[in-house]
Amino acid sequence: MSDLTDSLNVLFTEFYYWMTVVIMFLIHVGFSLYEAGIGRRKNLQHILIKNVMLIPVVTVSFFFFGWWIYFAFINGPFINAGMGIDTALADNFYPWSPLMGPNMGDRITGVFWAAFLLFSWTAASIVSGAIIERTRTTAFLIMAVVLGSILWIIDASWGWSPNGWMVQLMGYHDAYASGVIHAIAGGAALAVVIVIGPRIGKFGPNGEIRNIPPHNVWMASIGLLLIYTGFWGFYAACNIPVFNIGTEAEPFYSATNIYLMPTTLSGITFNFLMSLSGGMLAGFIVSKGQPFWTLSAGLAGIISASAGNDLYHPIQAMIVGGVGAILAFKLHHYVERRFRIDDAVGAVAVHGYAGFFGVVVAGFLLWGYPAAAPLAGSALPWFGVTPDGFPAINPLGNLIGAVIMFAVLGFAPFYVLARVLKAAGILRIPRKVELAGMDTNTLDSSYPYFSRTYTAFEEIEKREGLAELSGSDTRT
Amino acid sequence: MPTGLESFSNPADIGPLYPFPGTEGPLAIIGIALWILFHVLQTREENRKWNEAEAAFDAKILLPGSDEPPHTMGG
Repeated sequence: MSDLTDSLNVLFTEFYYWMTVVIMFLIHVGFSLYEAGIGRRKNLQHILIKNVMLIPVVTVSFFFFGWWIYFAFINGPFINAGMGIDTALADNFYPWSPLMGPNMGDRITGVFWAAFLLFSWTAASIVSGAIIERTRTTAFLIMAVVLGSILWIIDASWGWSPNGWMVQLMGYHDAYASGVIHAIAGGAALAVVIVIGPRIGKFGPNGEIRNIPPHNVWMASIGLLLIYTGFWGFYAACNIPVFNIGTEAEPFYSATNIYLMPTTLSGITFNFLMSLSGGMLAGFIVSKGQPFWTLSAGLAGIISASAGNDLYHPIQAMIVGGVGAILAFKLHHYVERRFRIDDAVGAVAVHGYAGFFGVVVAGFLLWGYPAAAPLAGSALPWFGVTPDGFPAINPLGNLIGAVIMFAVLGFAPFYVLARVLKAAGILRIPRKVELAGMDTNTLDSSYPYFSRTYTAFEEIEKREGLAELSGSDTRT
Repeated sequence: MPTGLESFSNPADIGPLYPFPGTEGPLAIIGIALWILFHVLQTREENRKWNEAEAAFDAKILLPGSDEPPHTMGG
């Protein structure tokens, strides 16, 4: 890099994505706290380790094949004009490619890979929360790899890339991943909670719903606030910070969304906060001020507006966020009551239903906007073009897209996977272990100084301490 | 024995910075094998752990350090 301006652009972009990764790490801190807070103390350490171990398994599998999938599957393959696996870029991202490591000729692959990887963790973590207190870590880690390194990155290739077939043919638009992260993970979580069944005692003999109190509401609430914090990095990572949206002759530099269509970091800051606020305001009212649901509704608010938060007016974002939060709250309780589904943290509602809603709404509110520049060799868009010949965002394209995310790539494959894991006997922990608690009989207590009995160490301390005191007494 | 670069004097001509360039293929195979091995070992360990926990439940004993009675819901 010998040109200073070009160098600064590259080095700024490298640092920009690196920072998003650091901030996004807080999402996982938040999920870990949240799940541990919602769980009972007899399961706390296993809940924690189940969630955090997705980090290494998704990371290495995403290195081995996930990143390659993103570039290889943009045409389906064979959905857009019969085009197969796209090797133009994908050949650079095999695990043995020289670009998949420190290389003086490339400064973006590592940070861009990591930004997408953190989305993978998020997708897997969403499923983790729904199935706490009864799932084997073995099964969950397999599910985490399938969702984090295969299914979500296929949907990103299809609908979260300027050249993806869903964008090119259907005008699909989902700027901050209402569908491509949240709806798919919610759909997957729904499938698993159906197959694995509720926790023992969750539903009474007459179908009555029993509340299983969180062991620490404070911890769960801080977890949700940390997820909000990490979401800032998530939003920034969905943008390209500096891109020429003009021509070579008349350049015009702007931030863009993932589809290389213009937006501004300032604008999405408005909308992030307004959709969060819309969700919290609505959630506070419908939940009558419960901290858990008020904070979850804030998340549902962001997720509901995320598909179009690159372009919405802030008040539109607030209203969409509020409606999405009410929908998530109502649907969670309806589904729980009607179908006896035990989603321990409301993940299916907050991510799945709100994400689905968000994608559908964006199709209406952004109807006619350009989705992306047309790809050479692509078939004509199915649902309309803009006057410039770009595929146009439209309600039908986004509705079909939401179904693809939630049902086709989320629910259906995970229903099959969960059935296979169940048949293999590795989906659910033994009932006796579930009754006693996963930590009981396997690990030390999570709160030894609040226990009803002494720990082994305290027994030793007591015995030796008393003997010592006894000796002192003798001396005096 | 040099394992890779011996000079940074012409940075524009430098590509990979890591040692043993050209071994990426075998490294990928080793990495994938280690990843699969982890899942095998983790599955085995978890099965062993739950078998022991079930036995402890049947014997109505608490292992050292545990504070939850085994036959209650806890929480």
